[in-house]
This record gives sequence, C-alpha cells and structure tokens, in this order.
Amino acid sequence: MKQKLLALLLMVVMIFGLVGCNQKPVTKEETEETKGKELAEIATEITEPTEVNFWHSMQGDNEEALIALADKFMTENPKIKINLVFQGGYRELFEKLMASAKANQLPTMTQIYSNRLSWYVSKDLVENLNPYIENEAIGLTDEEIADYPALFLDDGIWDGKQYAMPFNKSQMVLYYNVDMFKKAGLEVPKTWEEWKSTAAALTKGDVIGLVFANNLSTDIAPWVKQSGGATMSEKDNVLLFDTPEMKEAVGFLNSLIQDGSARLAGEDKNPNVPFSQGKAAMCVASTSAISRIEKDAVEGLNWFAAPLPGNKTNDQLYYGTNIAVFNTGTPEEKLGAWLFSKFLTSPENTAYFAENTGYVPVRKSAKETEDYKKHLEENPVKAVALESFDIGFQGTRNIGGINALDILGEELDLVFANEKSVDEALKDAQERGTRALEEAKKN
Amino acid sequence: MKKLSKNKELKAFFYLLPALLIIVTFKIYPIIKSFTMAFYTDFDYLSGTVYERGLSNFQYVLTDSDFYLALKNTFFFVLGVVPLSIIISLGFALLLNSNIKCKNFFRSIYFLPFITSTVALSTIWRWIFNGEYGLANYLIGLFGIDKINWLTNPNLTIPILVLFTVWKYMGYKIIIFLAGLQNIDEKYYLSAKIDGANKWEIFKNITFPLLSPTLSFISITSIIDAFKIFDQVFVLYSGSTGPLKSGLTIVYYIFNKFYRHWQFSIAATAAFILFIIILIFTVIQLKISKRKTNY
Amino acid sequence: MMKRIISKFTTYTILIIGALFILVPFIWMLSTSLKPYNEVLIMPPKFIPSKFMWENYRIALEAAPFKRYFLNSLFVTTMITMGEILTAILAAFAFSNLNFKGKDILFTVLMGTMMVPSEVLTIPNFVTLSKLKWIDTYKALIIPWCASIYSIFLLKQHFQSIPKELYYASKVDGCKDFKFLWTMIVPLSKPAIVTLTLLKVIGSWNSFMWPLIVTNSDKLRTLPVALSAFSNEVGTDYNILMAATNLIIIPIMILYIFLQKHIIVGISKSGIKG
Repeated sequence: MKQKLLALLLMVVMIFGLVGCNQKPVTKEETEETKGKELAEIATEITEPTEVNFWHSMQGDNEEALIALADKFMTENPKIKINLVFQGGYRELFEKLMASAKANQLPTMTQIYSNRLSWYVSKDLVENLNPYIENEAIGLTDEEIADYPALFLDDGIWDGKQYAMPFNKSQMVLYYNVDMFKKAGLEVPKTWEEWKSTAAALTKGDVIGLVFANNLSTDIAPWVKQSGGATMSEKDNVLLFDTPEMKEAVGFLNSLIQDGSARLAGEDKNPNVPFSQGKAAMCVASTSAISRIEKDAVEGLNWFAAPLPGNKTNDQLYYGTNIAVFNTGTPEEKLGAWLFSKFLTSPENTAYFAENTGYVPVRKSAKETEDYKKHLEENPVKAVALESFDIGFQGTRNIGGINALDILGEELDLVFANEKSVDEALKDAQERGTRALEEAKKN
Repeated sequence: MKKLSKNKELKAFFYLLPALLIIVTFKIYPIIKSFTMAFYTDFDYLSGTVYERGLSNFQYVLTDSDFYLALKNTFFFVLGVVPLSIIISLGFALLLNSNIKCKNFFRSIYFLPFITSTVALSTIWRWIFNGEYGLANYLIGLFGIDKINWLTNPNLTIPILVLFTVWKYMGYKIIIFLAGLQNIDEKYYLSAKIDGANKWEIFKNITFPLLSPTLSFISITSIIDAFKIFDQVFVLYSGSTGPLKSGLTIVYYIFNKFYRHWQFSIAATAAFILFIIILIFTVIQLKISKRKTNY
Repeated sequence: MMKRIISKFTTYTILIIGALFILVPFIWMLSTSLKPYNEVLIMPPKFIPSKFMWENYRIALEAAPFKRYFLNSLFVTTMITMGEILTAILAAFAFSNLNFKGKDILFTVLMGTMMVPSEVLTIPNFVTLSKLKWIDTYKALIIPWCASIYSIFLLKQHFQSIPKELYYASKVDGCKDFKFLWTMIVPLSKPAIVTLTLLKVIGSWNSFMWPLIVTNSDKLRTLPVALSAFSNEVGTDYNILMAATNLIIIPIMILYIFLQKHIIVGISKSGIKG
C-alpha cells in the first residue's frame, strides 16, 4: 500500500515538476507581435512539378465526382499533382487537422467548415487569397467574382480578407409529400401560420405532419433570423439567446411539437428517414439529402421541396464547407492550391460537381451551362436551392460558437421534452453559453 | 551482496526494456504532457506557449453540473456492468469448461459480438430497440406488455448500455476465464471428488481460489474499462449523448471538451480527475486481491 | 442418474438461450446484408429478403481497394501481435519471477497508464510520430501498439500461477532464466498466450481511428477504413455496410476456430505437473 501511495506521489510530483519549473513567463503581447508579420510575395507561375495535398471528407458519389475533377485539372495542368486524401467523416477530418496543426504538418489545402476555420484564421495559419484573386494572370475578374453568390464568398471572409472559397453547399428546405397535400387540398405553406395549420391538418393516424432534425442548435438559425434576430453577433462576440426574437422562434417550434403535429427525428436519426417511408407529410432537411430520399423512398412516394416558410422575413439557411489553403506550404504549393480552388469553383466544374452530388453549384451562371440545364429539367427538385441565394445566409462563425450552440441545443431539448419553460431555458442558455464562449478564448 | 542486487536490477531492466521503451514513449510521455495541460489557464495550444498557470480548470470542472452528471451516469454504468458481466461470463465459462457436447460451437457463437465492429453492431441494436417496430417490443408484446421507448427514454439509457456492453464483451471475458480455468490442475478436482465434495464445494474451495489471479485481472480491467465507457454511447446514440444527456459519461465529457469544443485544458483536467478516481478503485482492488491470493 | 440428466438439461438450456441471445442480431445482420436497399428500412422489418442480393457483397468489395486494405490489415495485425506478445512475455516474466527494487511501484505506474482514456493521447502521439518522421509509414501503424500493459498484466497473472518450485528447481539445475522462460513458462502458458494473440488480433484488425489518423496514403490504409465509405451525414447504405462487415469478420472467425483448440490445452492436460 505504501508503495502504491509512493507511486502516485511520484506521478503527481513529476507532473507538478513539469508545470512548475524552468519555463520563463511569456506575455501574450510579445508573441502576438512576432505573429503579425506580413505575408511573403505570392508565386504566380508553376515552373517545377508541384504536389498539392487536399484533405477531404467526400465519400461515395461525392468522392468520385471530386476525383474526376482532380483528374481533369491535372490533365490541364501537367505540372501540378493533386493528392486527394480522404480523411474519414468530418469528425475525423477535423481531429486530424488539429493534430497536424499541432505537429506543423498541415496539408496544402482542406475542406473545412467556417466555424472551424475561424480558429485557424485567428492562429494565422490560413493563406489570404486576395493577392491571388486580384492578380491579373491567375486571379478572377470582377464579373467572375460577382458570379459567386455573395453569401458563399462572405462565409470565407474575415476582416475583409478572403480566406476560403465555397465548396459543397446546400440549403435547408422543406420537403413535402405531394400526394398528401393534394388529398387534403392544401397548398405548400408560405408563412408560419399556414405551416402550423398545415402540419396539424396532415397529422393523421401514424403519419405526423412535420419532422425536424434532432439537434436544433445550429439549425435554429433560420427561424430566429426570420423573426428579425440572430443567434449571436460575430462583431461583438456576444450571444443573443435571451432575446424576444429567439423566444418567438423557439416558441413557434415548441408549439408545433407540443401540439403533436411535429416531432424531432429521434431514433430515426435523420428527418428524411420517416419522410421517405411515408410516415411524415413534411420534413426539414438539407438539399444534400435529395439523393438519399430518392433512394430510400417507398414505392410511389410523390415528393418535392420548397424554401422554408417565412415569418417577418423570408431568410433561408445555407450550409456546407469551404476550401481553404494553409499558409504553411511553399509559394508554388499554395499557388497550385489556389489554381485548384479556382478550378473547382468554375461554372462548368461546380455544375459538374452539383450534378453528380446533392450539392448546389457555387456559381450563379452554372445553371446556364448546357449539361446542368438538362440535369435540372430531369431533376426539377434540385432547382429549389438555386432560387434563394439573394435571401440566403450562412451560420455563425464565432470561436467557441459551437460550444455555446451546443448548450442552446441542450436547453431546447429540455423545452421540447416539456421539462423547462422557454423563458427559463433561454435564460440559462444565455448564461451558460456566455461562460463557454469566454472559456474558448483561453487557447 | 550489493553487486548481486545490482545485477538483479540490470537483468530485470533488460527484460522490461522493449515494453518500457514503447510504453514510456507512447503512453507515459503523452499522459504527462496532457496532465500538465490541466494546469494551463491561458495558453496557445498550437505553439505550446503558456501565458498563465493555475488551478482554475479544476474549479471549472468541479463546478460544472455536466461533469457531475457524467460522473453519476458513469458510476451507475460501472455498478451495473462490472458485476453482471463477471457473473455471466464466469457462469458461461464454467458451463463451457464442463463435459458437454458442441463446446466449440457454443464458444464460437459467444465470441461473435466481440469480433464484430461496434458500428455494425450498434446499427443492429438500434433496429432491435426501435420503439415502434423493433424486435424487443415485438417480443415483450407476446407477453402482453406495452411498447417501450427503449432508445428515447432517458431512464433506460444506462441499462441499455449495460446490456450492450455485457453482450459485446461476454465472449472476451469467457475466453480469458477459460484460459484461467485451464491452468487449474486436474488433480485437485480428482482428489476433491474422491473426498466426495459436491459441485458448490468444489467451486468454492478449488475453482474460485485457484482462479483468483484471473478473477482479479478481469475485475480490475473491467472496472477500468467500464469507467472509460465511450464508444458504445457514441455509436448507439449516433454521436450524441443520448436523450437529455442521459448517456453523458466522463470520457464522453472529455471527448466533447477536447475534440468538439477545443477546450483542451478542461479536457485534460477532467481526464486527470478520472485518472485519480480509477486509481483509487484499483488500489483498493489490488489490496483486496493481494489479501485473497495467498499462495 | 436422474439428477445428472436434469443438470445436463439445464446446462444445455442455458447455453442455447445464451446462444440465441447472441445469434438473433447476427441473423438479422446476415439477412440485411442480402437485402435489396429498399427493404432495409421497411417497417415492420422482414427477416427473409424478398430477393437474395449477393451483389451487395460485390459492391462492398468494389467500393474500396479491398485487396490492398486486406493485405495491409494482415501485415499490420501480424506485426503488432507478434511484437506485443514478445514484449509482454519478457516484461511479464520480470514482474512474476524476478525480484528487483521498485517492482511494485513500476507496475502501479504502468497500471496507471490504463486509466487514462486513449482519446486524450491521440494528438500528443501524433506529434511524437511526426517528429520521428513516422507519419504515413508502417512504423506508425505498428510500433506504438507493440506493448500493452493489459497483456503484461494478463500474462503476469498466468506466470504467477505456475508453481514456483519449478523455477527454483531449474535454478538448482543451473538453468538460465532466459532458457527457463522459453522452455518452461511459455509452453506452460500456451492457453494464455494463444488467448492473448486472439484478443490482440481482433483489436488491431478492427481499429479504425488510429490508421486513419497516422496515414495519408491509400496504400497504407486498413480494412475498417473501408467501412466508413458506406455512410454520410444524410444516411447509410446499411445492406452494403453489413455485407462489408461480414467480409471483415470472416478471417477472424476462421482464425478463432483454428486457434480455439489450443486455448483449451493447458497444464492439466499437457502432462507436466508441478
């Protein structure tokens, strides 16, 4: 026993020893000064064979489309070799990026969400793409820039600098069962009130009116925005959970759930699952679920999609990752990565990607290309997500925002389970979320 | 005498060297690394620069209601899974060690869940426990019991996790017990039989004491593993902590803090506290098993 | 006599109930792997597919470079298992038969490493491996797993149950420790060592996260990585996933059936008595 205590003591001493000694104190200011050094000149020409490592999470059809595009790029640019590296799902990809950042082994470029990228931007690890965009030889013209839907470019801008280009985007839409609507003589709802009465009218027997995704933390954004609010302010880095707009949004969703005319996906995992089984008249899900619904649908399921019904405004939520280039590569590698980003987002290539996956093209003119036009004629549901670019917005990107939204999600679960009132839950969410946001600044 | 003892240490050192080299590099060093982080209160994770040290992370974790919830859930899980899995696997190991037909067939079956990837198993379990059409509800329906919402009722989360874990790791424990039972010399059984001992007496006086090294191995590692439960929750509840956080365990808390929320020092602190808790349990257990193993 | 029959009967009943409890989910798994996609989610579920889709197995095999992954898994698993058994035998011997200063402390410290969740260690280990320039090599897949305190602990417990008189007798005969370990202890602990081999093989055969984290090129990846190809955020191809899972289980099952007779040959039957 004594020896065991000794062993324990030994370990504790070792730990404290490491904490305590010979590390001279550093102040934050000191290190930040050296960090802010300006970027080196960019390369504008590839003369030597260059390798670009691109980490991604694209599987199945998505991966195939990406591989085809990379092959096409390499034929056009024989000096650049694109190594596509599949790094598992998003969870594994972000875990690996973190490890690589720590080991100073970041890839040339990666697929990443903006709410994750913001931290890397704050650590000065991401390449500012403006010098490339503005360069005459390799950049984009003003017309081309205007061809990107503004909301997608904005998602990659921090402090006026373009740090990421849009990649796989989709919209949160309302899927509805056409036959059920026809039979009940109902129109697709355009407003919250219509939506509520429709959901109630279509809830019959073992069919529920409406199904939402399980975690309504980040997904609450469109309803708050449509009520004139937001979940948080990026500029001031404060949470807006305990606001009248938020209460209106949560109150609306909660009333649907308490009425029994809506439910969360629950053990079905994704809202599109009960919908494609004909067990729900409507569901709210991403347009990237289109091909899944096509596959899952029970025979004879007649369905379509529409933008989310509006309240005070008609704002629509888009989500999805961007591609970013890390500044740790050589000038040539970074140039190669930029050229590939530009290539992937060109109208015909983004159209090709959208055609073969469930995502939205990230260029407005993509729908003018012959192939995509034809594709839209064959798959009219895919056109839905192209209509709302002007009223679209993307999620918040505050560092620690995910942490705060997770807390909001927990509190909302309590509301939906009838364990807490809306007011109380939002007050607690605000308080706990603010603490989490503070905590996230510490590293 | 002194030289002799030095030799002894040197010799032991050579036997231990290969294992130690790897364990020190890939276990002890990173453990110390992450434990030191528990004391960083303001730092740059990537560069490793520390601006401030202190104990405020401990204050954070120890006042975090989520941590206590995780602690509570984990304790209930440990309390359920450890005795149940040991009793069941020991029982089956004894049956399989007796003189029966089709031994190999049964042994192979019990081993199946252990060799199958948890992801695939969890999918099947989700179907079985589906509230509306699952097999579990169909079976209890035969006895006239109402449908149960197995996976969405917060009170059932820990019992389901216990059941799943016992089921999955039964085969693993059975073969360790079988290997242990094989080490018991048959002559003890023979002489006991000659003395006319009954089955219970044989188990109590021969099998149980002679199996105690295996038993203490199983119980110590089971407790440690049970405290570290994470994978089962993660896959069974599709990457969430179950209904109303009823499946939030300590390692899940650590995982969320580290990989989802990037609160590295908080995660390190929680891992450190978990370490201390398990250590206390293990030391107590080692003490008990030392007292029992006396030959 | 009657009593014996009853006891036999109870034994079999319990064993069969236990087996059913285990098997039902697996039958479901097998049936799912043979279903056409649109029958997978159908409620109420069907046990027997309307059409047997052997094609699912072909799709699973084609979805990933299965052959390459299989060979990698085979190589990595073999190396890890051999390495770990070797280091464990040596270390367990030191802990069970040698007396040296600080033995208990060292053992406790090593036990301590089991108490830290591996989730916390991934990133520091990645940093170490990249400093060693081992990322994206077989070394990174193999070497960190070539020693485990679990195995040392398990073997130590078994070595301790071998009568000490044997050891002292060999000492008197002038037998060196090293020779004694390999000619007496190892053969006598065959059940434990075979058990350990099996457990280790399964562990490394199924490991997913680590190979993904420490490798970048497809040519180094292992079988479980293939499983992740069948699901994404919006859904899973359950039938293909189950087919692929079954394909991955088969080699282990064969190994198990082959090895299990060795687990059951122990001291009691090997004729060497203490």
